[in-house]
Amino acid sequence: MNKTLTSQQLFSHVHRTWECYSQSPLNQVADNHYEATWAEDLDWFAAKAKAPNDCALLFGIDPVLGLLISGEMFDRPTTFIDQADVHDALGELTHIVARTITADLGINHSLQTPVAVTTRQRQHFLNAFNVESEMLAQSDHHYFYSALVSSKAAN
Amino acid sequence: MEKARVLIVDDSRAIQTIIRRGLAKVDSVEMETRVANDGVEAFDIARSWAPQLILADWHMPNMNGLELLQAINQEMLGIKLGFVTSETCQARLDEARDAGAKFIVNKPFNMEELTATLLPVLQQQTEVTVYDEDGNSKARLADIEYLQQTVASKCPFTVSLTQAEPISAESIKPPFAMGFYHQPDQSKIAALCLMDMQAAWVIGASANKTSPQKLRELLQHKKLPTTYINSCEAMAKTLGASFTDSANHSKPLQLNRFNFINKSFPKLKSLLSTATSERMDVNITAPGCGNGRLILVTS
Repeated sequence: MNKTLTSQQLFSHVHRTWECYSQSPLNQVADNHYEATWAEDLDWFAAKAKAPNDCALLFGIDPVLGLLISGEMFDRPTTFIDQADVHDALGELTHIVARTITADLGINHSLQTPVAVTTRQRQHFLNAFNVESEMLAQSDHHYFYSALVSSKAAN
Repeated sequence: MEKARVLIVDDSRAIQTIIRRGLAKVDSVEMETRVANDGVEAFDIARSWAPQLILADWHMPNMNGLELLQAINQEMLGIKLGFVTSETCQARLDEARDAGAKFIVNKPFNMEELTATLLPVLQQQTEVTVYDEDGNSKARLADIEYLQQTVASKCPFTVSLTQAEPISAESIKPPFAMGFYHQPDQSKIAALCLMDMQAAWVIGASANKTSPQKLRELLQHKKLPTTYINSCEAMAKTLGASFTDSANHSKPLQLNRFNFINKSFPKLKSLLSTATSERMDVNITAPGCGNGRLILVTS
């Protein structure tokens, strides 16, 4: 990647979208780095740019927080939010943030539809891609991680 | 008070909900909303429900937002469309504006931003309905700007409309085309349009993307091609959206019949009378096509 983001810039992109849809404050955590210990507990989504812009935005979100923001977006109590609703809401959230970031980086022509990723897929991302930028935030004591990654081959 | 019909098109149910909830809080315009999950579904609803405004996402499966706008233009539905999208590529956004997009709101958005953008568009649409002295609904004309947008969005070549002083019935030389409109589910004629031959050439040439050279050849034969006649009729159908009636919740008037008339007739003068009706005379021009006259009258 010719250009990347600082952790603070990545957080700003996420925060700008977050605050449009949630009343709960989102605060950046000082220690940004991905750790497998808590990563297992998060739900993961990815929005991948198509070649030649071989990069992706990863979202990892605490399932409780995912449920809470989905409830806010759908304006329903969380007891009436199902997994399809969570995927819809977080998929859209990932997509919007990814678009604002790729536009900022000048690679806004080719973005794939965000998908929920499994543990194995996440591990593939982290093995095959370089972490260009990452941020860790909290809302209501629940974690929200995001990383901008680019293909090791592209580098 | 009639409700404005707004169609929300987004493949995310969450975004549909957010927009719908936000619109429900707008006090100044009462709205009825429907949602569609993609462009194909939206196009079907647009044809049957005739919304005043469509708020469309760009990136959707089956048919994206730009394709939806192009389909609406192609079908001459005369429906305003604005984008609520995360698309930021300037070339694509320019393409959308060129195709007639009324506005583009970027995601993420807050509702204040969205409503501030779409309210003027909705208010422009709802202001065209009036009541007569007895409280009955009455067809009324849209303004010249709306007419310009309606015509220009259907014509690939640049077409310009300017409001003109009314001319007398005697000075309208046949042949000319006339379209008569009625309210949905009623047989009474509510409005009419008249286009002189030069206007028919302008509309036909523009709608069919005729090159200036080809147009010169056609003009030598002096006979309006069938494709041009069809384009004029399609345009007359679209112009039905220029007339609204509150009793029918501003649904476009329907074109009852459209004919080319070779001889003038005595009743033309009274049909174009403005004693109890509204009339708008418009000059319609396109580069290399000359200058025609379009007259719209409510009965």
